[in-house]
Amino acid sequence: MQLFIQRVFDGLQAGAIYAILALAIVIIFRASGMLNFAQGEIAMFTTFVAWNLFDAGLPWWLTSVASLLIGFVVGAVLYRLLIVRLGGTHANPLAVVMVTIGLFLMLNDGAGVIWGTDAKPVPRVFGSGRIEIFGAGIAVQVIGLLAVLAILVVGFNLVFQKTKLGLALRAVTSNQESAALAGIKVTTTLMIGWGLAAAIGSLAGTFTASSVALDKNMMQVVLIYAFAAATLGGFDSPIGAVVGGLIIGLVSELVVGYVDIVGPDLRLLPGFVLVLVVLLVRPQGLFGTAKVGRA
Amino acid sequence: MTLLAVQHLVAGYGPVQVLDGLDLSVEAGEIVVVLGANGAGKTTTLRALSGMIPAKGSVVLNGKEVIGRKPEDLVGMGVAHVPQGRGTFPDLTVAENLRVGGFTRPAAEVAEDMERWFDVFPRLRERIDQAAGSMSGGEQQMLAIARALMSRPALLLLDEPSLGLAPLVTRDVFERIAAVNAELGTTVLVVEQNANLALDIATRGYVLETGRIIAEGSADELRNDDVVRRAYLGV
Amino acid sequence: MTRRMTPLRALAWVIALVVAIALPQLLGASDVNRLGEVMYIAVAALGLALLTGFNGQISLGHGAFLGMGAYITMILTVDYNVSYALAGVIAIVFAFVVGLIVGLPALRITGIYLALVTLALATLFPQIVVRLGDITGATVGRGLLPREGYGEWDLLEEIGRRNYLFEAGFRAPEWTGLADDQWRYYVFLAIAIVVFVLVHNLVHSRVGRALVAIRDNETAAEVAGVPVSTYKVVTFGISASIAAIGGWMFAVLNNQVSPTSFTIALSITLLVAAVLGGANSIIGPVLGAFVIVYLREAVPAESQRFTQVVFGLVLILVMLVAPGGIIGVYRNVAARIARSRAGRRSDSPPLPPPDPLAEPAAGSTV
Repeated sequence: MQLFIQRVFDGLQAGAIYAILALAIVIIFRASGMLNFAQGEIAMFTTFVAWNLFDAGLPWWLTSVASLLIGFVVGAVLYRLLIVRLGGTHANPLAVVMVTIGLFLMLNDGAGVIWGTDAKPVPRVFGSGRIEIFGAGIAVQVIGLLAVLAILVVGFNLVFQKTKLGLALRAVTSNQESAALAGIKVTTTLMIGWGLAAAIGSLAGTFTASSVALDKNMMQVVLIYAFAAATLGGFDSPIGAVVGGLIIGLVSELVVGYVDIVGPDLRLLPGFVLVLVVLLVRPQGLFGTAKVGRA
Repeated sequence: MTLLAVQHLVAGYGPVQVLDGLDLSVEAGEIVVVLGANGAGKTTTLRALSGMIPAKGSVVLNGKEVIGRKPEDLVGMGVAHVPQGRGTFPDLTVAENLRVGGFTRPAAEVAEDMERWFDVFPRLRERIDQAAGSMSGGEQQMLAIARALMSRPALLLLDEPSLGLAPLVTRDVFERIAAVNAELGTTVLVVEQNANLALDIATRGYVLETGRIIAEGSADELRNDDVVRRAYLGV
Repeated sequence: MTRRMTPLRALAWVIALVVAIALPQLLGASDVNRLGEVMYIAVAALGLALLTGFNGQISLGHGAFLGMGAYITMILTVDYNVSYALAGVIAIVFAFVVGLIVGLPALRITGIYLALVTLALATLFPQIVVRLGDITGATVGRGLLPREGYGEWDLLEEIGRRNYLFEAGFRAPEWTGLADDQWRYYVFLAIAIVVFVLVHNLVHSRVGRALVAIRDNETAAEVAGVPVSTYKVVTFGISASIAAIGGWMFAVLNNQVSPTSFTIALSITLLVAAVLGGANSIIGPVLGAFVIVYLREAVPAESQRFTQVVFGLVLILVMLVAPGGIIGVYRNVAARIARSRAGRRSDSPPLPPPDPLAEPAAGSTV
């Protein structure tokens, strides 16, 4: 029983990270209909910058906040400089994929060049304490992470439903042309959207580094899981991203733990099989709207 | 006072030039209609005026040159454009649609205006929390017009409001437009295929054919013009 | 063969062919092997170009199909004494089937999911290889000399220097009087030419035009009667097979496979080669392959780690500035020359943003 609880929380911990990154992916997809393949690498890069600041003496919580801000700037600039030049929301999706893959490569290798390939140890955001839940020792870090995820979801909802910025973002997503005609500055709005997404992604980077160690390849697998989570949940649904992430985290952990054929090498497999099955039955994902699942 | 002066407007899509030197003008307080068949360039005209497509020539609004501006600047210049097909925000509720319309205005005015437009278009108040995409064509048209009016424009551009609407509904829409013009003094430039209903509410009109104005006059003059009658009034 | 085979063009092709045939006689073994590397990348990149440039579907997993081809070839020839030719055929069929399996569910959902599925494939492939360690030799790989994680450059030097070969190697038959590397080169050249001609004919056929129509506007193509789903899935299968041919060539050339050779980096390399050269052309992948292989050469050893940065930068710049790749630039210039010769001047308002994968101008033959 103890082992089961442990596994559940391990799964939730991983799943929460996937959920956060998936949320970032979904924000961009909803706002502009594109996938940002560099999302994970941006997160990795900002976490490295945070580590640099931490190494120079700043407290970890402060550098984590700094990484959020840097992430925001990177995301906004990425949209303004690259995506707009490709045609903004009318850009060919393939071109956007290629450009973001290009950015992925640059950031990944760039990080290796700047900071080397050794993994850097990074402090836990919420300290190293453990608490007992049903007999299993669960790291406070995990609880804290789940709390952050909850705050993120609530905050996201607040911003999107109750603020003018949120209204602008939703208007641009719903009908970009009319949004412009209503006086909404479309490019600025999308820049903010991409910036927010990147900032949220940075959180995923911070927590990934905390749970293992900070190294330049750490986000690659997380990105894949996050894509799977977004697919499972429905690409235009933020709730879907979060639920999808948690489910995939749980399923991966439990299947790998309890099904012997699937060893740790094939960790990705259960998640993907799940996604594939859901897609065959419900192409738009669990929470997605029909227009996402085009036959 | 001339609110809008268009001279030698040239616009098109890539290698296809649709407007070939268009001239028209709109005085403050008027309802001006531009008649034309499909492909004549009606929608292109409005899109060029709004900056949605690149254009050459001169378009002066309230003394300021509009050519080269982006659509987002229009609202600030006092122009609201209701595009063809209504251009509502299908995923947003009626209330949210109106709030977007009033995006550039202070919150107090937005609240006040929403009330007013709900009075003018009671059907919208009934559906206040309904997603715009699920409403009927006529309701969406009312919503689109109300949304445009939320920005308190001096000039309202309407692109084929009758499109896809039943005749009775269309008549209703046009009556509201006339009412708004009468009460608020909002100048209206409407492009239409349905000449009958449009001429009923218009002060003046133009006839557009293959990218050029071929006739202009008061609503009565146009209604009695043989060419117009045969081509557009089905007489 | 090409649409407008002018005498000048024919001459150019003949010269190119003569040069290609002469090269192995003039160059040393390691250079010849490097050309072999260009060829297998070019072939695999062509498969990718067919899928992405001509049919508009993206794949980030073609490295996995190449890897499949390589592993199957290695395992069958080394463990089961199957002839290289038969191994190649089996590899092609296997990859085709896997391609169908991957391409099929992607039909039900928006095209961008294909990018994700292929990404997963590329990531999973080395992991599956390791998992099936008994057959595949796990992290150590299969081949003559078990090694781990070396750079391909080391091996090519090794092949050049090596003066012995096991029976599992791809050896030159006695009657040719050629060295092994030369023989391999000519076999590759013949295969590459066949593949390129076949793809070229496919692209310029009615089916090919239908594929392009699907790329440009799927709904319109469907309405026009094109069996969109079938074509897309089959194209994916074919494209995977072609990549597997590249994999066969890899196995023959290197005589060694290991999981580290077929990571997502390879898939991205193929993508860069195709895009840089011009994804909607036949010659493009060849040019891209040349650039990739020789760019890596030109970068001194200490700066090897910059390769990915450069690749990324290249990808971004190409997409922003010259979305049609090198061939795209060539076509633009050629078209402009043709237009100014015809004396027409265009006065129309600016065009919408360039579509990176748009149909090339009529009359182009590459």
